[in-house]
Amino acid sequence: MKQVLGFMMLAFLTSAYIDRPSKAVHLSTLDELETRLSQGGDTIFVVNFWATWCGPCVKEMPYFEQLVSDKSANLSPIKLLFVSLDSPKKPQVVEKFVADKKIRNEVLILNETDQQEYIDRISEEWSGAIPATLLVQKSKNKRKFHEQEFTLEQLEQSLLAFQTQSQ
Amino acid sequence: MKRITSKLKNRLSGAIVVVMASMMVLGYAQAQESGYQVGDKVADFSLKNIDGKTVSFSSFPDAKGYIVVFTCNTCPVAKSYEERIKELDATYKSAGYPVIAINPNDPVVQKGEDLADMQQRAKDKGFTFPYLLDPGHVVTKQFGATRTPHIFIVEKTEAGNVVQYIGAIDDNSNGEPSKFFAKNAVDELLAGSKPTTNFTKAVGCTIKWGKTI
Repeated sequence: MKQVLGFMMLAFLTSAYIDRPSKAVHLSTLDELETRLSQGGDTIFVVNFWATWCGPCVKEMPYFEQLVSDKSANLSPIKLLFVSLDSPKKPQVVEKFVADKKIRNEVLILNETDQQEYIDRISEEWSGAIPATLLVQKSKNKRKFHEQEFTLEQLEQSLLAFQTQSQ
Repeated sequence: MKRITSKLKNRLSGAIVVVMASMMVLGYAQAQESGYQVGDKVADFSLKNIDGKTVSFSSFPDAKGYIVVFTCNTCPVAKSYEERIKELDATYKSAGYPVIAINPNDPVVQKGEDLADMQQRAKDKGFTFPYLLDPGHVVTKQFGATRTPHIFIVEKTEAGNVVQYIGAIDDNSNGEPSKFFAKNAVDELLAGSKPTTNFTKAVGCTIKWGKTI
């Protein structure tokens, strides 16, 4: 019995760890997202706005995953959030994409429909074109917005510039 | 630990280079944003249509204004608006506001955007309006378009051509729109007033800039 329990425990823990990277895609309003960013302390949030239909977005996603996984390269803790602008009414489109592409980091679907409201709230610098990326570090009150497609090198430089800039 | 520290040091000493590089990037970004604002006068342009003929504002001597749409063959948002762009042309060309479509994408950077592709797309979709090429993004930058689709409604006045609306065609690319920004703006202009809503934003595809820029 003890052995069975132990095995079950092990199986549970293993599955918990293995399952960890492929968290379920979940919906998030902009308020919920902003609350999270504001509670991040020293953590640098890398918030990438993308959509399954956006070719350049899909192309740069591995660069984000690669850079945040390289712990030695980063001065502060980093949390990557892929925020999808696909329709919140069809989360299965994003879920399938995340499974097919084996996306390891957290994926949210922005649960907002009024683009006239949410684009400006995310950044007044944003025209609405994607891909776009927001960097936020609450403890230092830093917030930097990029409306562009990154190469790996450009993204690395932007992250580094954000970490070393004073305010 | 030692390895990490030296790596950190290297990275920090590279910071100045990075800051300089990002200043250059910022300068570039600002150049990108410096397009027309609502109320600005618009210089006429001259671009090749997919049929080889040159098109400019002066090609429409009877027009009261123009609906300039930056659109392309490959962006799913732009494609979802093709029928609505055709509708705008069908409704407003005869009223004096023809659609002029411009493809801002570099055909080398983005496959599917060259002249032959544009000709095919226009034929398949039955475009009723000019579909112009903009080599070197000259007119795209002049307007300050940043995405596809991106629409600029220009009014012909005695003082010249003036931008009266910049932004989205309507408020929903994939569902049922409830706010028809472009239609409302043209209707208001035709009625002799200024658009109530003259600037909107929308999710769209980045313009595929040529690598030489």
